[in-house]
Amino acid sequence: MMVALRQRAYAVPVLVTVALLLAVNAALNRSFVSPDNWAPILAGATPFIVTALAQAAPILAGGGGIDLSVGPLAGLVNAILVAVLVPRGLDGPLPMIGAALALGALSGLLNGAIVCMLRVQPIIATLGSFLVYQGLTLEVLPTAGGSAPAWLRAASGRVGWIPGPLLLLLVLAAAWLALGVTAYRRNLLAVGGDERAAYAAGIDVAAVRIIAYVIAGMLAAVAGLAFTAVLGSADPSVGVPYTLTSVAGAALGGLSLAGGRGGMLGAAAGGALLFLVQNLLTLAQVSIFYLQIATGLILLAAVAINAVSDLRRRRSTAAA
Amino acid sequence: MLARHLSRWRGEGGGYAALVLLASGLYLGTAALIPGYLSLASLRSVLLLASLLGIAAIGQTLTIVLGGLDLSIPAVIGFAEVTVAQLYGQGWPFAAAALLVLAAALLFGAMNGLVASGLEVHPLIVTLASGSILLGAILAVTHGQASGTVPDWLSATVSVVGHTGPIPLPGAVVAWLVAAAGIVILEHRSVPGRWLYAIGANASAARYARLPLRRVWMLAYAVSAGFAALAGMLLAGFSGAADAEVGAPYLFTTVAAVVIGGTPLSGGRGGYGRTVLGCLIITELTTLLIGLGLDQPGQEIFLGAMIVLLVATYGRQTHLGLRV
Amino acid sequence: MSDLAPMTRAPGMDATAAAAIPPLLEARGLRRSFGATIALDDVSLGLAGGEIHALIGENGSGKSTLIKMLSGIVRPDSGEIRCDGSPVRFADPQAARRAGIVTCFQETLVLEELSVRDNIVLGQDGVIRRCRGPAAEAALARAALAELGVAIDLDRPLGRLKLAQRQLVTIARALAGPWRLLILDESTSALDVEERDRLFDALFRYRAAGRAILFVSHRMDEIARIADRTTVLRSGRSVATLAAAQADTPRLLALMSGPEEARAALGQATPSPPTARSRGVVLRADGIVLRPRAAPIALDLSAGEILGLAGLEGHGQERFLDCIAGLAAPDRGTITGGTTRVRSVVDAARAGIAFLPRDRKRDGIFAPLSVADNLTIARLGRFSRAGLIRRIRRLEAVRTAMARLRVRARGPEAAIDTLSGGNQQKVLLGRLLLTEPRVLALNDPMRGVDPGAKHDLYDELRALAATRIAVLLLSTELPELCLLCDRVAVFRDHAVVAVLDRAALSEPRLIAAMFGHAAADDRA
Repeated sequence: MMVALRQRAYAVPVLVTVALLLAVNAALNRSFVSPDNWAPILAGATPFIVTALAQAAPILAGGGGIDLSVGPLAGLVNAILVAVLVPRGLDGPLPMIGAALALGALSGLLNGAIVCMLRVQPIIATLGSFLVYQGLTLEVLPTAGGSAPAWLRAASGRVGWIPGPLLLLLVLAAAWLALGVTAYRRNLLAVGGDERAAYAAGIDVAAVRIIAYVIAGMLAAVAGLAFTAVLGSADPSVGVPYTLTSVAGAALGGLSLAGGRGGMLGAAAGGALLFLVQNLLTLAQVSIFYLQIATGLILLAAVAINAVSDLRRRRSTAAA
Repeated sequence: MLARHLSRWRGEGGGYAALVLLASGLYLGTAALIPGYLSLASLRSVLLLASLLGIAAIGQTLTIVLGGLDLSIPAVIGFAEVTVAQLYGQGWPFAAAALLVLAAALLFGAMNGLVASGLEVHPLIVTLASGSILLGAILAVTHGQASGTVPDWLSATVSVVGHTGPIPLPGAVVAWLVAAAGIVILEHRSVPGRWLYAIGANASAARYARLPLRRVWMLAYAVSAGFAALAGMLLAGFSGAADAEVGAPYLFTTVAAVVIGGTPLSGGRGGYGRTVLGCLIITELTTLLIGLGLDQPGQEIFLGAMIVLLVATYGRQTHLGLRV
Repeated sequence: MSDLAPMTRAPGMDATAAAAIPPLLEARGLRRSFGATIALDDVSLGLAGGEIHALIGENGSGKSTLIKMLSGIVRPDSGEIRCDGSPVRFADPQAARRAGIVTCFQETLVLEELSVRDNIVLGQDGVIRRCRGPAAEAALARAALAELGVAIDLDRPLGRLKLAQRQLVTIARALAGPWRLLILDESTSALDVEERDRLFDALFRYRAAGRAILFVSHRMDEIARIADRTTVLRSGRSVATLAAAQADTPRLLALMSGPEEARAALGQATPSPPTARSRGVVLRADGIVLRPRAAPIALDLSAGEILGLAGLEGHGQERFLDCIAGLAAPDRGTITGGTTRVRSVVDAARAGIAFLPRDRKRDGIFAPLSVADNLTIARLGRFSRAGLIRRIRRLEAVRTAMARLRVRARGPEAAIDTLSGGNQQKVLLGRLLLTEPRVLALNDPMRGVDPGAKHDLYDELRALAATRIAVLLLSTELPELCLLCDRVAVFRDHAVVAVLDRAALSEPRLIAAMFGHAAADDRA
C-alpha cells in the first residue's frame, strides 16, 4: 500500500490542483455538483483525459518519444465511424469498437515501426502521420455531419446507473492496473528512464517502445469513439487540437518529457485539469478563442515547469 | 532509384542538378498532360505561388538548419495578414501598419528562440504552443470576423499579370528572388550564417567553442517570423480579404519544401538555395495533382507521406547498441 | 623480460591445472574496430568452471570492449566465442543472459525511478510476460542481496540509495537469474572493505560450486587475493595468462606496459629537452578536492611547461581538467589562471585557458562544415566587417594555420569529415590557437590519431611550449607522456598520488603509480 502511494507521489501537485479547480468550478456554478450533471461533465472531460493518457505512453518510453498524431487519429476514427461504417450498416457496438481499436493499433504499429525500425526522430515521424491522418479525415468527411448510432450517443449519458464516461475511465484504469501486473509497465519505465541501462539488463527496448506507440494509437482511437458519442456526429476539425492538449496534459501531470518518470494517473489528472480550466473560462463566458490562448499558455507553462524540474533533478544527481 | 538520388543530396554541395532536372521535368511533364500549361501566364502563376511559399519557407529553412522547426509560421502569416488589412482599413498609413506588424513578428520570433533554447524544449512544442496563442489572440480580437482592405499597389505586387518596372514578373516574385539571393549569400558569408550552420551541425561542439547559441536561436526564429509576416502581408494583397486561417496550408508545405529540397531535419546541412527549388517542385506538384483531380486533403496525405519517406532515407539516428 | 617471452606467445593456452577442465567459455582471436580505431586486435581467453579469472590492462587495452562482446552488446568483426565447446553468437544482451553469462558493468547502470526490487529482477521477464508475482520477486531480490550479505529496503526507489548500495544492487541483479559466468567490471570501486570482503566470500562460494567469474579490477591486492588465473590485455591483445603463483604484481605491471612495442610504435621522436620551470606560474590549482574525502590536490603550471595528467579511467584526472576549463566545480579549492580566479567557462576564457574536449566527433568538429569554418568559427569576428566575412583575409589565415599545423586536406574548403582523425585534431588545435591562449588544456588529444599526425602534433606541442604556452596534457598513452612531458601528475582515487619529474619518468613507474604502487616505488 505504501509502495503504491510512493510510486504515485509525482502526481500529488496535479491532483491537488485538480481538487482546487473542482472546488472553484463548484463554487461558481452550483449545478456543477448536481448528480444530474455528472454525466455531461464527465463526457466533456473524457476526450481531454483519454488523449492525455494516449500521449503518456510514448512520452514515458523516453528517447524523445511523443506522438503528435494522437489528435488527428482521434479525428480520423470519428470520421471513419460516422462516414464509413454507419452508412454501410456496420453500426453495432462490436464492428464499431473493433474497427476503432484495430485502426488505432495499426497506426501505433506504423508509428512505432518508423521510430524504432527506421530510426526516425519520433517528433518528425508522427508529424508525418499527423499530416496524413488530417488529410485522410478530410477525404473521408469533407464537412461536419452524419450521425452516430443511438447506442453510442446513449453511452455518453448513463449506462445502467453509472455515467457512461465514468465506466469508460474505470475500464481504462482497470486495463492500466492489469498492465501493472505484467512486466510491461516496469519495462516501459525502465526503457524511458535509461535506455542504455535497460538494454544492458536485457530488455528488448524496441519492442517496449513499439508497444507504447500501439497503446497511444489505441487510446487515441478510444478518444475518437468518445468524440463520436459526445458529438453524436462527426466533424473533421474536432481531433487536431487535441494533440496540443494531450502534450500539455501529460506535461502538467508530472510526466517528464525526457521519459521514465510519471504514470497514467498523472496524465489523466493533467487532462482533467485542462478540461476544468476550459470549463471555468466557459463559465466566465469568455470567447471560445481565449480557450485556444489559454491552452497554449498552459502548454508553455507546463513544459517550462517540466524543463526546470528536470534540470534541477539532473543537477542533484550530478552532485550525489 | 529516387532514393539513391536523394541520398546523394546529403552533402552541402552537389545534387542541385538533380533538383533542377526534377523541377523542369515536372513542368514539362505537366505541360504534356495539361494543354495550355506551357505558356508565360502559367509559368508566372507557378512562380507567384512559389514565391509566397518561398518567402514563408525562409524561416523554416533557417530553423531546420539550426536543428529546430518552426510551426508558428501559419499563425504569424495569419496575424500579419489580418492586422495589416485591418489597420489599413482603419485609415493607418500602410507603411506604419507594416512596420508595426514586422516589429511584433520579430519580437514574437525572438521569444520563440529564447524559450526553446533556454528551456531546452523541442522548438516544435514551443512553436506549436506560441502559434496557438497568437492565432487565438487574433481570433479573439477580431471575433473571428476580420475585415479590412489593402492598397491597390499591394494587390498589383501579387497579381499574376503584374510587372516590376521593365521585368514582366509580379513584384512578389522579384522580391522573392532578391531575398533568396540575399539569404543564400548571408548563409555562407556572414558570421551569424556560419554560426547557424555550426550550431545546427553540432550543438555540443558549439558550446565548447563558446558560440553565442541563444543569440543565434533568437535571431533565426526572429528572421523566420519576420519573413512569415512578409508572406502574410503579401497574402493580404493576394486575397484582398482578411482571414486569420490563411496561413494554415503553410504549416506543412514549408516543411515539405525544405525536406524535398534535401535539407535534412537533423540540422547543419543544406540551405535556402535548395528550398527555392523545393518550393518550385511543390508548387508544380500541387498544380499537377490538382490537374489530376486530387483535392486539398489528398495533397496533404501525399506531402505527409513524402516527408516521412524522405526523412527515413536520411537523417536517421544511431543504433542503441553503439551508444551503450 | 626474457623469462616472460614464452608466455606471451601462447595467449590463453597455458598449461596450468585449470586447462585440464573443458572451458566453460572460450574466446578465440576476437577482433573489432570502430571506424579507424582498433579496439580489439587479437584477444583469446579461456574461462573454466570453478575459477576466478582476473582481467587487467591499462586504459584502452580493450577490456571494456571484450566485456561488451561477451555480454552480447558488441559483436566481433572476426574471431569466435564458444560456450561448452560450441560456437555462439549473441544477438543482444538477452541472448548472453540465456547462455548463462551475466555482467555488472563499470558504470552502475541502474534505474533511479524504479524500486530496488524492480531493479534487481529487471531483464528476467519478457516484454509483457512476467515470470513471477510480486511476492516471489521480493523473495528473489532479498535472496540475491543476502548472497552479498546486505539487506536493503526493497521498496525504496534506487535514486535514494548511495553509490555503494547502487553497486550492490547491480551485482544482485546479475546474481538473481540463473547463471554460470559472472563478469564483474570494476564492481568493487565504490564498496567499503567489509562489503567487498562479503562479495569475495560469495565469489569463493560460487567458485566452489563450479561457476566461473571474470573479475576486472585495477587493484592488484584484490587480484592477488582472489584470482586463480590472470589475463593481461595490452593494446587490444591478450598478451599473457598467468596462474596465481606466477602472477606477482611486478610481473603483471611489466606485462601491461610492454615498453619495447610501444616505443617502436612511436618511432624515433626525440624526447623534449628539459625546460626550466622557473619561468613564472601561469596556472595554480590549490587545495582542489574532487570528491568528498579525497585528498586535496595542489599543482602549479609554469609558462612553457608541458604537464601530463595520467591515471586509470575514472580516477579523477578528467574531472580535474574539467575544473581547470571551468566546466566543473571542485568540492573545495581554488584555480587561478594568471590573476583570474576560474569558476566558470567565461573565467577560463578570460584567463586564457583553451580546452580541447576528449570526444572529437561529439564535442569537437562541425561535420560537414569546411576546414576553414572549423578553424575560424570561434574567432570569426577577426575576419569580418559589419558581420560579413572577408574571404581573402580569412583564407590567408586558414592557409597559414594549415601549413603550420601540417594539415593534410584537399584545401581550406574540404569538408572536415573527409579528413583523417589526426588532421581533424590538428584543425581543432588550430581553432584553440586562434584564441591566443596562455594555457592549453588537452583531454587525450592523440586518441585515435594515426602515427604520422601524432608526430606532427608532438612537434607542434613542443613548439608551442617553446613560445611559453603552458600545456596540460591528459593522455592515456604512457609512452607519449614519457616523451613529451616535463612532469606527470598521476591520479588515483581522485587525488594526485605521485608527480614524476622528467628524470623519474618511465612507463613502469607510471603504471606502478596508477595501480597504487607509487609510494613503494619512490621509496625504493
